[in-house]
Amino acid sequence: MNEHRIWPLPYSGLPAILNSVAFVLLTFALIAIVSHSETYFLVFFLTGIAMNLVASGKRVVIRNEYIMLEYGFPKPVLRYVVRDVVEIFDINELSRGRLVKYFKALLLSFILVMILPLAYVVVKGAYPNPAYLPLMVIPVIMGVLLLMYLIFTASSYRRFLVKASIATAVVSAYVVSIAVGFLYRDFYGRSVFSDPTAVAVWLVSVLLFAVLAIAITFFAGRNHIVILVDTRGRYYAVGTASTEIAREFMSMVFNVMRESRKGSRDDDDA
Amino acid sequence: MMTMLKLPKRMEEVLLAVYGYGKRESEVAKELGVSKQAVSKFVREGRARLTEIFLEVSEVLHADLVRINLRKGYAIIKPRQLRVNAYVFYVPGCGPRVLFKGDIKCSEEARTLCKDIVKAIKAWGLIEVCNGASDEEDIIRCIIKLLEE
Repeated sequence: MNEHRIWPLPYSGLPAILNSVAFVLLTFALIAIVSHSETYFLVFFLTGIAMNLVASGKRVVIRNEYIMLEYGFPKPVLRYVVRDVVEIFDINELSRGRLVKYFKALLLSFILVMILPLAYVVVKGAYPNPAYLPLMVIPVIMGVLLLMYLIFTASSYRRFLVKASIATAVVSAYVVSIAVGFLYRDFYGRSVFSDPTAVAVWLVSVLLFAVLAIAITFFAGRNHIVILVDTRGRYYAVGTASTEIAREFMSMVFNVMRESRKGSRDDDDA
Repeated sequence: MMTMLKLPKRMEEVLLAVYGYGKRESEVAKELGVSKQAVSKFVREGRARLTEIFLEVSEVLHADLVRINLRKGYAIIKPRQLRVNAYVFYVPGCGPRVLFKGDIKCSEEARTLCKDIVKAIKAWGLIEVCNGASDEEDIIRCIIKLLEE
């Protein structure tokens, strides 16, 4: 099997924590750049990217009796050995599959972002500049919306993926547009709408962003997520590039599950 | 090689005690008068055999396996011809029973199948989630909803 077509997902354990913290740091970096705090921006941005790289899934190694999930780019930094698999399923094939039921850590980043305005007030000891309020409030609304989608409305993982991607793309385009507007006024001292060329470039960028979001949604929809559960009740997620690859991977795990009997007798009535 | 689609009696007892009733391996060992290592071995072997049983059922029905849960004794398969999910329950003492989606009617000839499936649901400890369900049909519908989550 092509190793690049299956990869571990950072939905549980340390990779999930790193990923969530990175998400929050990158949000802080966005606020720092708007607040002209270049040093903070660099610290938040670089730390966030480094954490994301450490948490990114590198490869899945399948041996006779275990499955090893490696995280980290370019070199694997974290390794998880999954033994004694007692449950395996392709969440995309379930009619009511909800990722959040198994990976509560996915909510962590949204919850952290939701408390961002409060954190800002506590850290700064002052109320934020009203001009930056939308920038701070929108990620909060985005988090709440996504939570609502995750918990209440999505009847299946596939449907959730499409709806949540559209919502995220629209809200993100909105946030980026506001940031562009703020930055333009800060740099040039006038509205971005006073410069037709700048507006045109800005609109093209937003359009490209929308195209990128559609492409990501399309490819993410084709990917399948296979979930493994071990005897200790720990959940692990593995991404696969297509339905066929997911089936191929699952049949390899079935072989591991069959092989795990090591050392037992083969007679029928022990 | 064709596997017998049934677990050996003692192995089944141990698996149900550990996963169905949630007993510790040491407790089960004490009850059965065997060592803890022997119980661990039964559990490992039982899991491997249950996997083989589910694989064999899916092969016979030309289906893809979508989900296997060895702790709760069930699997979800997708027959390639039908494109609709089917549910395989391991019934203690009987072996696997298959139920197709949208085929849940517990009258007349399907009565025995429903009884067997409810027996499996109870033995593997799945029933707790559907305590409110009144009859066999309701219990099965409730469980299937749960398996699809």
